[in-house]
Amino acid sequence: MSSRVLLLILWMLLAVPSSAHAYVDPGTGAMLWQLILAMVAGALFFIREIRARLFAALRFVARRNRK
Amino acid sequence: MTENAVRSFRDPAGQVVLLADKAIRIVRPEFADGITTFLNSPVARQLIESGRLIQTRPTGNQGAAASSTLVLEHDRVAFPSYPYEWPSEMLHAAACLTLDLAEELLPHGYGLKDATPYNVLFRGPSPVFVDVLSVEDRVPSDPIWNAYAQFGRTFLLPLAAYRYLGISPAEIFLTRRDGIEPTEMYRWLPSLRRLRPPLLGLVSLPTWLSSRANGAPPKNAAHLDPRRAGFILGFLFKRLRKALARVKPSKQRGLWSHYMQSLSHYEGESFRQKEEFVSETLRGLPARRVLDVGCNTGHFSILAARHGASVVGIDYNPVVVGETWRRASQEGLDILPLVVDLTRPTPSIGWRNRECLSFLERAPGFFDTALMLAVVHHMLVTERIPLSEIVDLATELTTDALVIEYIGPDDPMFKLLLRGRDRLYSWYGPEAFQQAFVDKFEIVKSQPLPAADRCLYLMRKKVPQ
Repeated sequence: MSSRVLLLILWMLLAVPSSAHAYVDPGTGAMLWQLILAMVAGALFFIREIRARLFAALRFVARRNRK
Repeated sequence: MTENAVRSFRDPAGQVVLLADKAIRIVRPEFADGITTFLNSPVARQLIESGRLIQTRPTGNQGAAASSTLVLEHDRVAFPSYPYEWPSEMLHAAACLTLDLAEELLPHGYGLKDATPYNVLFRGPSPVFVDVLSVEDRVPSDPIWNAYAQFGRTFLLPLAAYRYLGISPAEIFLTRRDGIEPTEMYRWLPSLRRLRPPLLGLVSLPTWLSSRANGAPPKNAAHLDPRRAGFILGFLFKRLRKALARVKPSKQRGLWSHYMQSLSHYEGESFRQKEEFVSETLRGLPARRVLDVGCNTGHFSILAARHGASVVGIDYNPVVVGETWRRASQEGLDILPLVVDLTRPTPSIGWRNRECLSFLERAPGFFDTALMLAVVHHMLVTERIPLSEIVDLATELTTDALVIEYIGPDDPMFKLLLRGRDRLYSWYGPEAFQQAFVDKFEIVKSQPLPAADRCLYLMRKKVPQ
């Protein structure tokens, strides 16, 4: 999964034109990379939440069926 | 030595003033409450008790109660050292401590506002986090660590530069205050290396991203549900921990780390007698603070530490200093090993050349004993330092005892260093050696060694009349 994410990011990088003249604050690249990682982690959190809720719902239904 | 000097001023939240036996930190009123709350928290107490955070005592507020400056008192770390004097093993230990703190503070609602090796000092081989003002209240909904990029450029990239390119921390930190930018390191890397983890994420992706940034520094991400923000930060810390494990310096053999094992039988006997001489000599001395010049892999530093001394071992080779640190750290010995070349000691650098002190501003007056074993001939021949100069420096480096080894022109190592320039040192012999010291030192005892043209001395400084 992570290699696909990386490929997607690489493709996005190549698709965006480079602006070579602007002043770029040191650490900007690393900060942007952190934002991307944060987005990946955020998505991961979201998926986990959904999975946890789904399992909770399934357990609830299973318990009701047993009664 | 310059005391009472302001030593830390880059953080607008406060300043540090060093006194002889303690460090005083003055905290601006608007930060006083936050830092007081933190220092009273269980997590701060636990960090201080475990020796990972510097001992800190509030000494009360100065001025009117409402808007008063807070004054904190810290224990002083006996011998301050800087990242450019650390072998990469020590930089790695400082990085681990910084990341440990960031991770452990997270569930308690605190964060580190910066991540630089200058927040860490070493007591013996153990790192201690000294900048309590680096700790701040975290905005619970913020999923971004502002010090992420700095952690990369001051810890991960210098460690990667050593691991993959053999560039030592000194080469990076002596010329750059705040570490190395991914864009700079990118240029040093061979093409294939750029595409392989961990450098892909540490160096290449940030470089490509910054070349496509349009100048404005990225804004923080939208505020999130605190649970989600905490999860994201935990995820980032875990990734940094993984990267840190991958750039950990591997154990390697340097020019000198092999030296001890390669002694012949004859030299071995000499070495045993030398060990006995040094051991016996240290027993007869106070030797509370010992400087081991040319410490190699720390054999004699360890000997001195086992005699109860607090030792600073210096050598110009980062590989052997790293090995000394490993041994001291494993055995819990009070040894601070530093990469310092005494013939070209650490300069004072930083703002007005006053920010970080040179080695020779820190050392004189600090040590009561100096060990100079098998180093004088290197200084004399390889570096061509006049003998009288070496004596003058030795006089500055110890307040009392000097344990020094004479190695003469008949010694095979001396011959190797001479490379045919024998005539230059035809004057050099045991008499000339002793003569050079008699003005400043009293020769208490001496012992010739069985190996050719070697002699050990215990000298003590003459009290000026």
